This record gives sequence, C-alpha cells and structure tokens, in this order.
Amino acid sequence: MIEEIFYIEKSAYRDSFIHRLDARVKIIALFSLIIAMVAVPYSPIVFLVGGCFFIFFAILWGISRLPVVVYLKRLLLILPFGICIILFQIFFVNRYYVTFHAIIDLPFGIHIYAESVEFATILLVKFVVCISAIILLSSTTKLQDMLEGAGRMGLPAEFALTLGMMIRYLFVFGYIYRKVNESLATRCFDPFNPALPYRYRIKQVGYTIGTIFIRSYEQGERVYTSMLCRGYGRDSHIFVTKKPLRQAEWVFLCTSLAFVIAVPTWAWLVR
Amino acid sequence: MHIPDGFLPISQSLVYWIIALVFIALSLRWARREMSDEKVPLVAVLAAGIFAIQTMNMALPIAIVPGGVSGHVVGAALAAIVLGSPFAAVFILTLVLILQGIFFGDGGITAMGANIINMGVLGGFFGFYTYRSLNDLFHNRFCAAFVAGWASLFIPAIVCAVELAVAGTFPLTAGLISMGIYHAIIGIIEGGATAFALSLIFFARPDIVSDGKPTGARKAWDVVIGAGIVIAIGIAIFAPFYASTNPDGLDATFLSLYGAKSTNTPVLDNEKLTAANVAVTEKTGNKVSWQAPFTNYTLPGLDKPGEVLAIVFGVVILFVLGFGVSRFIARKN
Repeated sequence: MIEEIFYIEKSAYRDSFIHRLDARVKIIALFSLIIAMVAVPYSPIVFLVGGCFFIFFAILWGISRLPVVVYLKRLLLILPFGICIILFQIFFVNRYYVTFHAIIDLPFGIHIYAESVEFATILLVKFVVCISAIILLSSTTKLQDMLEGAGRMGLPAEFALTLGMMIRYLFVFGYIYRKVNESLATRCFDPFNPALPYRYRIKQVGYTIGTIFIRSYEQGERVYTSMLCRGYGRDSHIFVTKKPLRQAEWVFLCTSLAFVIAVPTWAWLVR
Repeated sequence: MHIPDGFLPISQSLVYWIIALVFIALSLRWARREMSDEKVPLVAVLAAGIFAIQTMNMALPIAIVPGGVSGHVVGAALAAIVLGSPFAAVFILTLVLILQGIFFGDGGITAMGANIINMGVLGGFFGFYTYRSLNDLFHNRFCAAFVAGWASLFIPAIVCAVELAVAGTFPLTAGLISMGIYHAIIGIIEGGATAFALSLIFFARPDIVSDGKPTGARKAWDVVIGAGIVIAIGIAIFAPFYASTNPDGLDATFLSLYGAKSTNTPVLDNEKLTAANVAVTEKTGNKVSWQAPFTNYTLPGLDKPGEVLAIVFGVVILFVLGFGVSRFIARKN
C-alpha cells in the first residue's frame, strides 16, 4: 500500500478548481457526506440518497479533471474486505427484515434470499459512496495541505506535529520499502514461492520487518537529534498561518452542506 | 480487518469513537511521560516504518483458497513489546489507521474508532501482556513473542466479528468461524514475523528494546490485574454451565404476584407470564421496549458457547472501560 502513496500524491499535485479548494472545505464537505451516508438507516432510502451522493461525487470528479481510470484503480485496491462481507450477506438472514423469501435454493440447506440481496446492495451503495468520497479527497488534496487544514480546524498541535512527521517520512519509507523489495528480488527471494520451506520464508520476512523497524527507529533517533540541534523542544509545534476562505470556497462549502442535509431529508419525506 | 464505513450504524460508531478517544488520550499521556515528550518525533518516524512493515505481504501457511490469498503483519505486538508499553501500539496504530482511513480509504472514517480499538488497543494490550506473562513464566522470548503476535491478531478479529454481529451486518456464528479461522492462520504470519523480528532487534540493537521489567509496586499491581483478568475470564467460561436458570429475586416476586410461578417451585406458567406482561403494560402505560444485543447473556444461534462469548465480551468491554476511565481520571502522584 505504501507505494501507492506516490501515485496518489501525483494525482493530488494536478490543478483544477477542486484541487485549488482549501483543504478545510474539502474535509468538511466530504466527511459530512460520509457521515450522512452512514447515518441513513439500513432501508431502501439508501438507494436514493446514495444515487444522489454518487452523482454529486461524479460531478466533482469531473471538475477535478482526473481520469476515471485513477478512480477505478484505487477503488479496486480498497474493495476486497468490504466486498467479502457484502457477497456473503446474500446467504444470511439479518435483523433488518421480518420475512425472508428464498429466490435460489442451494445444496446443504443454503438459500439466497431476496431481502438479503437487497440488504447486500444497500451495504454496497453505502460502502462505494463513502470510499468514493475518500478517494476524491485524497486524490485532490496534498497530504501536507490536509494536515494544515486539520491544524486550522483545531487538531491539537502535538498531534499535528506527530502526524506531519509521519507523513514526511512515509515517503522515505516508501523508497526504503521499494529498495528492500528490490534487494530481496535480486537474491531471488519470493515470499510466495512454495518451493521454499515456509519456516525459512517467514524467517526472512521477519528479519526484513525487524530491519525496517530498526531502520525506522534509527531514522527517528537521527531526526530527533537534528531537530534538537535546530532548537526543537517541549513546546515546539507546527506554525500554521491563518488563512481566510475565499468567497468561492464559502459558496462551495455551503452548497455542499446544504446538499448533504437536503438529500436525506427529501428522501425521508418522499419514501 | 479494517471495518469500512457503512458497516456499523452511526450510533455504535460513536460509542467506539468515544472509547477509542479515551485510549488515544491515554497514549498521548504515555508519549509525554515515557518518551519524555521531545521524543515524540521518534515515535512518529517509527509509525511510518510500521506502515511500511504492514505492506510486507506473504503467502498463508495453509492455502484456504488456491492462490491469491495473502496476509501481512499489523505490528501492534511488535511495537508494544519493543517500546515496552501497550500504549505505544495504541499511539502508533492510531497514526497509521488515521492515515490509512483518510488517505488510502482502508478502513472507514466513522468506523475508525472501532478499528483503533480492535487493532491498536486490543492488539497492543493482548500482544504486550501475553508476551510479558509468557516470557515471565517460561523464559522463552521467541515462543512468547510468537503467541503474543498470534493473539494480537486473532483476538481483534474475533472482536471485529462480534462488532459486525452487534451492528447486524454479519451473522455472529458465520463471522466468528470465518474471521476466526482466517485470522488464526494469518496469525501464524504475525506471530512468526514478530518473533523473528524481535530476535533480530535483540541481536542487533538490544539497547532499543525496553526491558519491560516493572518496579516492585508495579509488578504487584500487574499480578493483581493479571489474576483479576484470569478469574473474570474463568468465571465467564464456567458461569453458563453452573448458573441457575431460575428467575432472580425481583423477577420471582413479580411472577408470583401475578400467579405465573409459585414461590417454592421452579415451574413457570407461560400463559400467565404473558398475561402479567400485558397487565403491567396496561397499568403503567409504558410501551417502550428495547431488544438488548445479548438478551439473557445469549447469542442467537449459539447455545452454551454463545453464553460464554457474551460474558467474555462483557468482561472485555468492562475491563476496557474500567481501566480506561480509571487511568483517565487518576491523579498523578
């Protein structure tokens, strides 16, 4: 996953109206969209709300001028765990429906229920909409901007500093990870090679993990020492300048929030 | 094991977030006190390293599905053991999970509280205390680290299955079996890698490993805490088999008032019980009823094992809450 960071940052360094928006605006708008989507009860209303939210996302993605392939690639990487839970749903009854009608009968007393298929689709819609919002946020906002935005919104200074340090070194460890993998490959070591004894493979992977741990610890020690040399102390924190939102950003923020509140309310009223 | 958004109702997500925040605050306090505050950057860089470690994929020891399935290390046990505190794991895993959730979409925003509890808090605490108690008992660092690594993955997976079942998004039995088996196998990778990584760190940089030897007073407290947990879990396991199935004092009084049960026999008249419930509803005008997640300490579909699990789950929640709240409100000496 760590190698993906370069790919994501590349998308975030492009230029468009969405990219230029202040990180705070995007964080508030997209987090509220996620919270609203999660807060909609498990009922068919989810389809209407999810559909509207997805169209909203698609419009924003279009404005960001990012290729659809970028979205699909990232979506595919995230899907597995959620999809597993969703796929198995169709075989089980759940507490959100009273009666269940089997549409397909399988051997060993397994049935596929119409209501469970509906419930699985509800979960899928919620899942995809929330994931899409996160993909949009991270593909259009640089990590550092996101951190500054969070800092301006009141993220505790010490947490912002720690997170900032971590983000900075994530790229370093992205390269280290790549180098480690290359060096393992040059020694013809493949952790998936069934010809090698399992104990040997796990030992090598364990040692590699230990090495990365030590390297990161030592890197941490060096960073800490060099920061001390530059006057770092107990009260040090990242200095974040004040930055008022532009008029266009206020308009975008208010419109998004109004949309996020209005859609579920409307769907609730017309159900 | 990263629960995505939409799989937990918003109300439950909020509860998990509140519990997680208590532990995040405690881990920040740990960082300030133990890492002497200024060393926080060191942990931050280490968190980036743990993130890289989590990307090291390898094949499962037993192929459940032919090809394609792989596992990786979470690193909670390793971080907690090396830095000598379960709060190290909470601190580091919180940083990692925030980044994974917000930037990579792995694990949800609303579900992040539950993910922090599962992987950071439970992984860190079970990993650390399993390692320390086994190492104290058998003086075998490698085996202790292996079991600690395995437990730090298996127990969160089981809790994750219970959380999804409480949310109503995955049935309990199927969840426990699938998550249990899958993570018991991946746990071998976590355990093996933790043990080998730890032995390498002990060999190459023994100075960075916190010896974790508590002072006399701390050790006594650890024994009290450890014994308490063992007794509580022991009671949880045996209670369902020895507990009386008869109603308690208040229930029995209510039942005998309405003639559903005489005071000296255990026989219950179900018809009169229903009539009693209706009569009470009419009398009080209170029609509000609430279906508890574990009604009568049972889990739907599971007989005695379900009762054991329900009580174990209750014990764990109470321990987490009690420990968390007491640590939070405790005054510094």
